[in-house]
Amino acid sequence: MRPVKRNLVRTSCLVTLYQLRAAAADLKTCLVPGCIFVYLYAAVSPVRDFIASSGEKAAPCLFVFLFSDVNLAGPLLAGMLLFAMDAPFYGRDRLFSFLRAGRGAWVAGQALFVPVLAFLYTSFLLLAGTLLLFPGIEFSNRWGKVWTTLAMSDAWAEFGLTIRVTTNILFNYTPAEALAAAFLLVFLVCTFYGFLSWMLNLIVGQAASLVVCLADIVIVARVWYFPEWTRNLVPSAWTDLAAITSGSLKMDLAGAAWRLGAGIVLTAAVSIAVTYRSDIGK
Amino acid sequence: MERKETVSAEGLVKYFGSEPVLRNVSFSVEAGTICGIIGRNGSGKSVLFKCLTGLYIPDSGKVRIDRDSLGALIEEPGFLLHYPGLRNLVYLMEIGGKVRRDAAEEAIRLVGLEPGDRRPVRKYSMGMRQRLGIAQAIMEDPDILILDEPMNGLDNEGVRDMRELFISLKNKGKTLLIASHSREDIEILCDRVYEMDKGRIALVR
Repeated sequence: MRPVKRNLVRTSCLVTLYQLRAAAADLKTCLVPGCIFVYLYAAVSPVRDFIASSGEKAAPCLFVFLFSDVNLAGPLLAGMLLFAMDAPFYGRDRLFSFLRAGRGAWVAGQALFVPVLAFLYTSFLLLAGTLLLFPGIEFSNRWGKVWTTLAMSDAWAEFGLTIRVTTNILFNYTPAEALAAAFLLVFLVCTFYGFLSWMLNLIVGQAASLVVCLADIVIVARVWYFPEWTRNLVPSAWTDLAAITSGSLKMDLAGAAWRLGAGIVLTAAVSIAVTYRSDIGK
Repeated sequence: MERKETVSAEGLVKYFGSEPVLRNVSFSVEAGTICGIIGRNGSGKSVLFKCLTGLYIPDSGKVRIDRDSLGALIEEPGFLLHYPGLRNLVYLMEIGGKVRRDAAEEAIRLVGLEPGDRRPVRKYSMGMRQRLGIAQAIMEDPDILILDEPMNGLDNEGVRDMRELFISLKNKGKTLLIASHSREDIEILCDRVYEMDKGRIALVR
């Protein structure tokens, strides 16, 4: 029986699917989201307290404001790094999938896995942000009293909220628009760090790559004290929709998306090219 | 009767850093035969096989092999440990382009395992994983098989079964290239034997 002629796109997608199946059975897949959920639960308990005390229900928009807290943004994005740090994912099963896919499709499949991973991780954060509001949640496309009060009064200080609910988001976006914009930013940032991790794994080794990527992520807690130009080097800061909308980052949403897109294309191109020309799994 | 060469390497050179691991390796395997490569650990057999399968890129030299009809088992078999054996093989077949569940089941039976075994691979013994690795190499009916230490972890009965299997595959016209440190396996199975030592290869018979 001769094998079927390979279709590059189809085979790459199947390699990605195989990688997803491997990831599904990995302990990290339960452990990392579990730990992040517990961490988030504690971090957003003031929001839940406020919702409970107000007697109102909130639109499911917590995700939009999570990244305004720099001490929260770092750990949330670091979670993505824990999944991407093994890129290009030389598992012990690489031989079997590689043989069937061929070099081109195998590398392309691993590359496709990074944005898929980023999408799934961002979706998890969105879902976590939604679940954490239960039972005080109302699926509506209006900001409602909860978010409006948090934006326009000092209730956030009274309840000890560390996330900032800002009027510039409420006035410039509907809840659905804000969620979509925040999702896009976080997805692009996660994808960028995935490919950056891959590229640095190949060039400087996994240990150094992890240090550099992690440092770039967690420096978001301090970047606002540094000169303005340094914020261009810290994509983790671009997940804060409020900072983008207010102009603090000197770029709008489209500008941030373009820069991230360019960064993704560059790091992905280098990663793919170097991997394609390398010994697989050495 | 002169047979066509289905696998050949010419002047293969491979370095790891500045250290040569393959030194001008040239050999060929005729269609429908079993060729053995014998050598100690570290002699370069696995590196050679990785160059043949495309995992490694040689620094110079040529490899001629039809990778579209190739089955291989190199190093320890690596499967998705939380899934049963049959499911692992089906997932791999998907990547290859055509899923024939009956072929995967037949391959599992041929290596002495049970297709209906629902245990995850992480519960398999080393010998069972090795058998499953051989099953994944043969399930798509490739014309060429590259097997690196296929008898690893097998008991005497398993070794006998695999010898019979390899001979039956040869009789069907398949080409097998087997690496082993066991001279007995090589003597019993192989029509042609090469020996590798420190990255060099020499024809023995």
